[in-house]
Amino acid sequence: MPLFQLDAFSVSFADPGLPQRHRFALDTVHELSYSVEPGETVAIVGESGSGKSVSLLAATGLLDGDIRTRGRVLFRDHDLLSLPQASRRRILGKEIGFVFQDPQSNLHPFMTIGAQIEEVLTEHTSLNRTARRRRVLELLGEVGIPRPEEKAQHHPGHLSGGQRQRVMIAMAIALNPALIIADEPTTALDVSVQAGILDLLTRLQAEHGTAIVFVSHDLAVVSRIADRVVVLKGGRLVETGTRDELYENPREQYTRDLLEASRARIRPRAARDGIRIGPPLLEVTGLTKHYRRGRRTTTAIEGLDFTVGEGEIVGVVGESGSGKSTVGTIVAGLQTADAGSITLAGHPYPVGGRHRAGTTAPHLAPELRRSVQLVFQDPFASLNPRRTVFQSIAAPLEAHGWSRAAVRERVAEVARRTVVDEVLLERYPVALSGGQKQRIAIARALALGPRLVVADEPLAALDVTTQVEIIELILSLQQTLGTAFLFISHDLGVVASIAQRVIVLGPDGVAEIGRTEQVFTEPRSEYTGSLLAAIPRLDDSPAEASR
Amino acid sequence: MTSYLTTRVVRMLITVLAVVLVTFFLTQIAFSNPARNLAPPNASAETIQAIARAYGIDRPWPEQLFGYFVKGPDIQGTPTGLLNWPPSLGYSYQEQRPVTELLLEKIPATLSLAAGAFVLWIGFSVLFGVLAARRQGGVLDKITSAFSYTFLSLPTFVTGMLLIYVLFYQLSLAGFRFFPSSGYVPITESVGEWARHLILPWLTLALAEIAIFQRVIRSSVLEVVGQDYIRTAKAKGLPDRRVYFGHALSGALNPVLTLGGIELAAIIGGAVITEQVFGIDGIGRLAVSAASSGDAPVVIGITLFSAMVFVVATFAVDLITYARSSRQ
Amino acid sequence: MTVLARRTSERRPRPSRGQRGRSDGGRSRLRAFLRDRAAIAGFVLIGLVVLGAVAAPLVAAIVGHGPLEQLADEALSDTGLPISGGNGFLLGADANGRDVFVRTLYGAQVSLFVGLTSTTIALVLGTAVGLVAGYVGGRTDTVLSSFTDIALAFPFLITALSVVTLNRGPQGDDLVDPAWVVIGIVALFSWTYFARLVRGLVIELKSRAFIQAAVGSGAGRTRIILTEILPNVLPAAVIYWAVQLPANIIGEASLSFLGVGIKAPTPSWGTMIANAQQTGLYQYQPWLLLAPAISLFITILGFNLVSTQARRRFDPRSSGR
Repeated sequence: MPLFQLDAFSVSFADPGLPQRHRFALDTVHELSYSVEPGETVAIVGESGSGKSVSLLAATGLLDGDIRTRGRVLFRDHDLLSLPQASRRRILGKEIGFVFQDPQSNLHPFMTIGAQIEEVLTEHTSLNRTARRRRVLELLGEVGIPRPEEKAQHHPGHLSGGQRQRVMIAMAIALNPALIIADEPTTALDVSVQAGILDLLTRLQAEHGTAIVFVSHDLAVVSRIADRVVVLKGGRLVETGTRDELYENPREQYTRDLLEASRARIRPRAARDGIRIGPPLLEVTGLTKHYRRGRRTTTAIEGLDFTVGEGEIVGVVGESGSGKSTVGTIVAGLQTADAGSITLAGHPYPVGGRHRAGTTAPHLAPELRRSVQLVFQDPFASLNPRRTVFQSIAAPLEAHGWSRAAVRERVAEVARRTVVDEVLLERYPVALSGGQKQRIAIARALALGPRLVVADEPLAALDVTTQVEIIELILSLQQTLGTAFLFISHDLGVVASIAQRVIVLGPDGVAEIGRTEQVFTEPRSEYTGSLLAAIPRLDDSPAEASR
Repeated sequence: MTSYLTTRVVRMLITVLAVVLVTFFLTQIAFSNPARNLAPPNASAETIQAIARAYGIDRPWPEQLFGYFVKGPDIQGTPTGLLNWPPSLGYSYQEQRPVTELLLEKIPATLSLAAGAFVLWIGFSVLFGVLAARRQGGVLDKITSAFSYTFLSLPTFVTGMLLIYVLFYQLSLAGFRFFPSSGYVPITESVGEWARHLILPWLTLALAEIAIFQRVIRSSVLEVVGQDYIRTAKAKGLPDRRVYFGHALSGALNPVLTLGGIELAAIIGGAVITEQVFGIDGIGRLAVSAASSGDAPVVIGITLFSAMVFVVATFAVDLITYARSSRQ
Repeated sequence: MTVLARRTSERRPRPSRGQRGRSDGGRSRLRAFLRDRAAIAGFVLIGLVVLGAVAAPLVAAIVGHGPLEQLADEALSDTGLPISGGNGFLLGADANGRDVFVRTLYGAQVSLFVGLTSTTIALVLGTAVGLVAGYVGGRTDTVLSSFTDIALAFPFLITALSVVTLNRGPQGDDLVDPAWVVIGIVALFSWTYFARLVRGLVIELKSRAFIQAAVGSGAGRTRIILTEILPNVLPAAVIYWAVQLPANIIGEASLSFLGVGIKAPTPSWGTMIANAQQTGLYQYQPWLLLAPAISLFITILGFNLVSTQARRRFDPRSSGR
């Protein structure tokens, strides 16, 4: 008998736009069926909006809001949907454990982690205080948290992202549940941390025989851990099969597209395009920046040297805290370096001096200011919600005193270049998709005709297929306009597929600078090597990973 | 932490100092000739001059200012100036007594009023705020919402007078005389009488505050209920009571605390009106009579007192918020 | 590389109601707001009060009693107590034989005028201070913020009591119309809330990428404040205007109640209630208390209903519930 089973399970959200009687007419998840055997790992894969998380949250009664469900959700022989709340509560936390995507937001910020784990034991067992405390420390040790006695007293804010996720896992396994539902458990983490969490999950599974439902958008991660895979799209089942069947012989075109997009991301950019790289445009030597907070000084970046040629794309990769965004904001002229020299096409940047970060930029020569522009990570935040697309793209031109007619012409021109449909120009950002917003942000950056665009994690908030579109756009702009890009990302796969040269920033400074092909195939530094090894690839087998 | 504390305390002192300074000049200009008001209507210029000299208000203002903050001449045998020990707030023209003594005598009534209202206000707000948030749109939510609208829309003095009209006047007519319409009995005399006299004033003050606060707690709990960590709490199989009164309430506390500090200080303002309506002899009534009779030292003293209450209340809230955020 | 032209919907996995509501355009939110039952009720109440204020002279002309006219013969009983109705006095008369109904209608004029004017002054002043403090930051912010803190630390009523005496001329007469003094005092004590709100919003906005983009494109400080920040701050400030308005109407009424606001014989609800309390006559003539009290209640309730609903629908910081 399956341990967990969805049977023609549908979820619909009340749509306020529809008449009262039909407000549940549209299914977000439609007649979904799959089952999970004891001890098995089943991956649920799909892009955002595929219903992969919604289906599981609704099935376990954790989705709030005005929703309606149909079908059955069986856990052992209980139908979770028709079970009274009190009985369902006895199953949640005890027999079904949960690990969610972002451990930062999923742990209570004002409770110690020890108390948060202990709560599960208090609720579901009759253990006394000492026994509970002992079990908490045991659990923290089991998930690999060093010095459990000390860490148990900490609030989540004092832990690293990886440690927080380990705490979530400790909470999930506290009572040896038969099933763990893991909803994108590694998405919010750095690559090297991600690998550790996956290893932990597989190890615990092997030790306790727990079944895992693993929700992910990342086929590469899934290939490391899953026994079987369920592919969802738009709330419907696309196909399901064992890991090997699905990865080697996908039946559906959609699965093939997903696999292709996934593979393409870790294929290093070869000399495949005959792009000629001109003489150095941006020259940086000895770039150094410290941040002062109170009496403490932290070094964001020290003694960095690099160049970007005319029309070249240079990738900057590093994990959180490596200083990669600092490099970006300095080159974009949003803050000054403490030391070093930076020139763009011969114009020097100001170095040192005081200015108020955020509200006023350091004074750059007008020529220089026009030559470098910035594209941000989060397209949701990078457009002013109260201005139309046209106004947003036109803003930098107006700031530089262009005439109204010239502005209109130039906006139309960059919108055409960035494939922004003319109808969108009069819309407000709320009415746009993430991909459209990012195109517009790029259009705005191009408005002044810069020679270098700094793109800070421009793909991080986007779906895989949308990421591919934006990569294509940046490559085509490089080819047609000869614009150079400084492309900052935590994602080695993305950088590999777009950059001609790569700067790898390690925790202690620059680890490596080199041509993309060389860095990805024959890394010279140990740090790059370990980063590369940590990237899940489609060809890893689950057997290898769990070893 | 220490540097934060120091700057915070310095800013508090500056704020209080500024408030006192502004009030000093305000009363200097506003109460242009207090001696004339004190003198009998047909007093001669010499009499008025003598009165002015007796209270030290014939001297130029810099001297008076110095006298207030540092050390002034004794008036009727009372030392003046903040640098005395115990600090002296001057001498009341109207009451013919030292201001410090006057304030200390009136503070217990105001404090009783504020403290009782505060307890009612916090208790009911938390209880109904969280319960209303738990079943958003439910019966309790609708009732508390109607309650909020009602008392949010009634000025304190109207609530007070309506309470008197219904609970004192109409009940008395019906032969039921429990609630007194006015007056104050010190707690040291009789605890029961103290509470009996204060029930209506407490209600008057608390109702408006509950109306605001209950909604604030409800909406900040609702805000938090959408957070991921509440889902985690539910995923752990915790009962609703723990999820809402434990996890959600503690997560929702920051905005509640901030507003709480401001409202706690505002309660002094509310007390002015409540004391007026219920005839309680506290700080508020003293303030009204002092301002209308031009009794500058009393006005400054009371302003100083309420500014201190405000500053200390907001400081306490800041400290708690700071401690919470540094743990995060 | 295959280009997948497919667009996935951008909905996040856990759409809360607030988020879904927010993804609609502003116009549909406005439509929903105008259809909201509580908001409609509020508009109706406000409409009633405005109508009363506008119609006051007309009603006075029809019944033939001016707001200040003392009609002792018709309005006082033989024992000298005011009547509570009849004789052409819809809501009876006060101790001086004045028509309570007519005075209540005139009271609406005072209430609305003082409330609207003082709140608008506070909005303009507070928004300006908040914008500068929040955007410029640093020392400017410290100075402006301490200024705001100091203003907040003043006990409103107690200080107002002394400020009002400033308006006393040498002969005990008023130097300027007391209504303007009340407006000034109420505005002086409410701009701080706008300043704090706007400052907080600006600081939050400042770190947003679109402001950084504007900074990076070389736009100047004034341009950024006016074109990028102000449009994002103004809606919240205007909603807050509607929230602060009823509080300011209460402020005027409280000052008048304490005898330092609008002065008798000018009809103001606060003075009417104070009068009822001082004479104690409301026990015989309940309209003395009820007429101004109910009017105040209706006015404030109307504005509270509208502002709460407006906030629920339009304020990006409210949870949308």
